[in-house]
Amino acid sequence: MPLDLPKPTEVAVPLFIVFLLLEIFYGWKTGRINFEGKDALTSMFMGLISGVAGLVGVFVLGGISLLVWDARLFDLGTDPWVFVVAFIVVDFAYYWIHRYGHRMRWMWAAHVVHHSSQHYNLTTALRQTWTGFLTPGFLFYLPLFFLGLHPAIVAFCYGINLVYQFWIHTEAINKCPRWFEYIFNTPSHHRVHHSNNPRYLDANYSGVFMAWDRMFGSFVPETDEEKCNYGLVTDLGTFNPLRVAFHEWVGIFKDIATAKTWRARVLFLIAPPGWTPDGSRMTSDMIRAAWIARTDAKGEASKRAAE
Amino acid sequence: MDLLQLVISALSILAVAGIAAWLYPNKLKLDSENVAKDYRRFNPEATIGSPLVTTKGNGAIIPVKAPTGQLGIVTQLGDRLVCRTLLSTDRYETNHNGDMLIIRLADFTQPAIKLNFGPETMTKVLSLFAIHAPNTKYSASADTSFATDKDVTDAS
Repeated sequence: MPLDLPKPTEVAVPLFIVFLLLEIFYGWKTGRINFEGKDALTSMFMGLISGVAGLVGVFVLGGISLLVWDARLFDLGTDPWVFVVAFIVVDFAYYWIHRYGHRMRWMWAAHVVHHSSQHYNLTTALRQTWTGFLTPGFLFYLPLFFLGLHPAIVAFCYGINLVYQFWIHTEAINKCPRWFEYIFNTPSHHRVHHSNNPRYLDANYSGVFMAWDRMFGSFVPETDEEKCNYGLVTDLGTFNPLRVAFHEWVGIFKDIATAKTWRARVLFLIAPPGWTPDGSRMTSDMIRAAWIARTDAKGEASKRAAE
Repeated sequence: MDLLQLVISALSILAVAGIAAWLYPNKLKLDSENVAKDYRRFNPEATIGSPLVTTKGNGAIIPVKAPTGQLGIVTQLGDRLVCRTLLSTDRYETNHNGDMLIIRLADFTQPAIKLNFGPETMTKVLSLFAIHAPNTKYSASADTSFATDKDVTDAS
């Protein structure tokens, strides 16, 4: 059954450019947003090549998807309600891919690119990986094909999901109406996700619906008392796109090459980023625990001072 | 994505980045205060001495008093700062020539760091690295530890 659906990300490219220009002029006029020429160029270049690299992914993973589709249990067809269901379950699968994208170093190696800018503006949305197809992320979608959702419908809904996420990469919007903030992913929720403040690490993985974060305990609201700082816990010292694209892969290969045991080799791949056998580097859990210990100690100290 | 779309996208990207660079000129200049503040954000447990800022104001070396065996490096990337903590057990290489110090870390995320210092500050920096001869390539080993702020004061 050939399904000829539009590619939402390609259709949206002209809109991306228009909104980028609007944000640049708005930020320049109000001083609320910051851009840096080289950073913006790197982000957008990463996005451009990501589109080309994505074709390899479509070729390789598309074939696997069709194989699973051929072995499907059901055929849910192409009725409008199927698209609605697909959009929700694709967003659910996206949540888990994204969560593992932060919690498994193999998947982080690809996803880290998106978090490698210290800026947070619409160009950051375009800073995308070139190597996503080298990770096991696509496995999360295979059950959807097996249960009867056509791969083209899943790809279409995934595209809409990505287009939705473009507008949330901005500091131009503070908070949306409360009901909207409750249901949907918003600039405020996603600023938290891009922050490297210990308080905000590894939170808000949802793509469109915040229900997944609320259900699975990863929701952290943005607070007025702590402004978001963007980037990695160890920021990149370069704008070089090749280093941006491959730095974590290089790190993994180095670690595996020097690991002394097979257990360590495997864990360098599947444990959270920052894991080492001797604990000499810090995972996000360790950074957060150290922050909690510091804030608790400060709280105790100020309590004692008040007494 | 066809070739025409690729070319138009590339041209649009150059135009947008050009506009961003033009409207948002980089005014960041490092000083002891902003360097120390940013470094503390990434290494909150450390007790640090006065940062040694480059003559161009685009980087700094930070003496770390505690824990020992650490040295802070802050560099400017665009209008943001990048912090690294060099441990005495890390693999790295330095090269010093006149007012220029080049630090190469065994770290793919950080290309060679080139820092210019005035003569007096360079002396302090070199003391921190325990380098005393120009053009000396030096790699730390596990039994090497960096000088502390006190050692630098003593050396100068």
